[in-house]
Amino acid sequence: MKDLFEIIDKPQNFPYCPGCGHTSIDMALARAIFELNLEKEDVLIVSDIGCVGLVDKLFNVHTLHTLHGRSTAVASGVKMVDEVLFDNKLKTIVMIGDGGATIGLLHLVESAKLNVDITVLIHNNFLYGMTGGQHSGLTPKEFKTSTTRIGNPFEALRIIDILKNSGASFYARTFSQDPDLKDIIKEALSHRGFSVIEVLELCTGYATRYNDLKGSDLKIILENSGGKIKEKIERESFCFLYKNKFFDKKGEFEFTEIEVEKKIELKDSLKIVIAGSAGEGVQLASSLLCISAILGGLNSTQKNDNPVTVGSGFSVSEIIIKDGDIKYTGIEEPDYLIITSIDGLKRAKGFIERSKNIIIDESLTDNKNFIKVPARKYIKLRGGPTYFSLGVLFGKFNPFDFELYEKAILKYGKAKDETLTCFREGLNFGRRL
Amino acid sequence: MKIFTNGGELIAKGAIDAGVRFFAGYPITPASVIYEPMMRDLPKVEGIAVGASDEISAISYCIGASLRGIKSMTATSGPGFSLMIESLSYAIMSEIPITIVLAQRLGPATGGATTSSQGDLLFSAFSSSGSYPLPIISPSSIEECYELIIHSVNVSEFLRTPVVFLTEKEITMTKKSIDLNSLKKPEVLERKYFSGNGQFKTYNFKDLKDVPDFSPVGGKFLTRYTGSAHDKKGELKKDDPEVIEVLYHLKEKILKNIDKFLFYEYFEKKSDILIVSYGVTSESVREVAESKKVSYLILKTLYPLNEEFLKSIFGRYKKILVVEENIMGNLYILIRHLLGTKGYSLTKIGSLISPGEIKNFLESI
Ligand code: SF4
Repeated sequence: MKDLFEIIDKPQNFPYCPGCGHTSIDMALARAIFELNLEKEDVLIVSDIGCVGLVDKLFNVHTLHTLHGRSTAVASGVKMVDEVLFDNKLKTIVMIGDGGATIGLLHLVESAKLNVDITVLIHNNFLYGMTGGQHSGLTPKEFKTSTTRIGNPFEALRIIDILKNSGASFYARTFSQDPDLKDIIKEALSHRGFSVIEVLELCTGYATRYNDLKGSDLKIILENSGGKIKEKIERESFCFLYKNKFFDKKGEFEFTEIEVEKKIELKDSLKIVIAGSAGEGVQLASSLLCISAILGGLNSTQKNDNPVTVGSGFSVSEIIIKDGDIKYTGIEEPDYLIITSIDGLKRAKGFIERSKNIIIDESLTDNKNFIKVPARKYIKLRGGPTYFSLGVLFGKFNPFDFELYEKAILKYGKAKDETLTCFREGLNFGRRL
Repeated sequence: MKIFTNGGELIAKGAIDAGVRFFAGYPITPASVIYEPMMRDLPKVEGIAVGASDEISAISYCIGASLRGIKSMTATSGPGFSLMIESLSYAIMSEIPITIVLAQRLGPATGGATTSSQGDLLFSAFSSSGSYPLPIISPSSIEECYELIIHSVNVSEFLRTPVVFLTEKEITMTKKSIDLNSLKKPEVLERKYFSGNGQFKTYNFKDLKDVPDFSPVGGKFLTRYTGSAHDKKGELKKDDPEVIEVLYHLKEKILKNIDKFLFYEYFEKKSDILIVSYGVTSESVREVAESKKVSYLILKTLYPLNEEFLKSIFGRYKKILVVEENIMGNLYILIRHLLGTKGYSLTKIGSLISPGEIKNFLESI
């Protein structure tokens, strides 16, 4: 790298208003890149929206102009890949204003937390320049803008404190005319991990219009608002941990694989609805029913329904078992309806009229046409009422080989011994009916 | 070997087989069933799966990852998709390949998290500001998730565009026994990289329909990516004819190339009636056709549509019934100008449309 102007266009070509702090920051960044002897191809400038977003065409490096506030998140996506899957050589610099920093605050917080290896330069000129000098979240108290003519009534967000507390491993705060700015940027760029520099600067287009301010006042504003800061902490990054911990385990996609044990005959399709309470193991017991059919060379589908919560309200599984292709997975007329709880009963109302056989916990009904079983006696075992009721179904109706369900429990179930006992008690109960 | 799985897992497996090596997610029913297996299984092939702090971060991470040169995907449902659409527009404008799985649930707003629905076709098709075309691909069965997610990633890479993979709760979450060997694996396509011949411009094309050669940020050719109106070099410009040309190119690139990715299933019987459907409702339609004298057309490329192709099929029928699980008749609205007085719309929300309901409707027309 021979010449600074290989990195940056000449200052007279800058698109900003004369005296705008952005020019000083861009020059300091260019000098930092130059002095670090970085290759142009190894530098990426990610710019946000606002006057700060005009930076792209000034720099002869990779540039990426993003949406308002999203620069940090997009830069982090680039950098996660660069660090984990490539050689981690790409210096990624986010150029963001006070608008972008507040609209995208969560992205800054998250990237600081994950310690993503990017450098964020927050151009804090206390207002929104490009859109006419409106106040921002970083406008100091009493500061005048086009939308706070008598002075901003609120304190500014202390963005560096927020990011420090979010885990930024390098954070600094200074102002655009600070002669150290270039060196601070150099340090930030050399730091491995999330680095952020808040640079106070003046918008000569608007800040000086509403406030009696000169460039030299910036130093006073800085000192009155916490002063110059520069801290560095060594901390592991998400990407480092990811690469070193997550890539250990190579392997195949984890499907639930089932080896067909034998081919059983089934003339018509079987439609079974199981309605119980969420958190009572209905869905696993239903899955095992599907699996038992697959073990027998049949096809099956399981369509589940539950409210948003997984531990309260109803839980319903609609199961179709067929020797052949299953298309529509809903059930209109169940061959068997199992109801194990009051939640299930309420939810299954629509099915009751249309079901051929109903197996229901004895506490829930007096109806003589239903098969009443002591299912809830087994509530201590997760899924107990369903395993017992399924046992009854197999014991009384023998839809197909009950041993396949036992095999499904043994291979894919949980608390296998208890589950098996419960199912067998149901089986015996059903056989006696 | 048989597997007992759901559409969500098949989408995850298909995406990995399509070469997706970056996934960012935020949990939402019914798309969490894609997020979870991606977090579990992507690291095993040295891919990155990351939980984002919200859906905007998720899609933004994907955009960044794709720009670095890695195939990227996210998955969400209506509420999350609503948050993503600003970035989706960005990906259209800056020609960044990403695949977004939109697992529909009952809307509007938070709607019904665990209730299936097909209400987001029009929403996603016209979700970009400026209304630029966005390819939408939709599986019509659980097993098809595998094949069509690979096609979706292909379209996204090949055309340098975001693609919406539109599916539903009853596809992503319903479990089914599936023969692993029966899954169809299409050829995997890659985005075309700039070879180093001639001058590199980030958005270079000769013909409006050309897809510009890609070069990653951090690669050996300096890139200028932007979501603002730009020339072929990627420089922000306003009053410049080349900027308008680039914008027309965004349309032509999709409309003139999408026919390479026209996926559908046409079942022809000697009949006066054609049923048109997509997504989960297609399974009911297939079942109806087993016992009724009807033909059906199941659309899997849902947007943009090839109207000439549709007209050539519609011309053969006296009555055309569009069946879908939403309140406005999304697909019906998209194609009704091709149907004229032949068109009928059967819609419903709250639960799947059963074969019986379709048969009853057929009796009434
Ligand atoms: S309006 Fe303000 S921020 Fe924008 S260029 Fe002018 S001085 Fe700089």
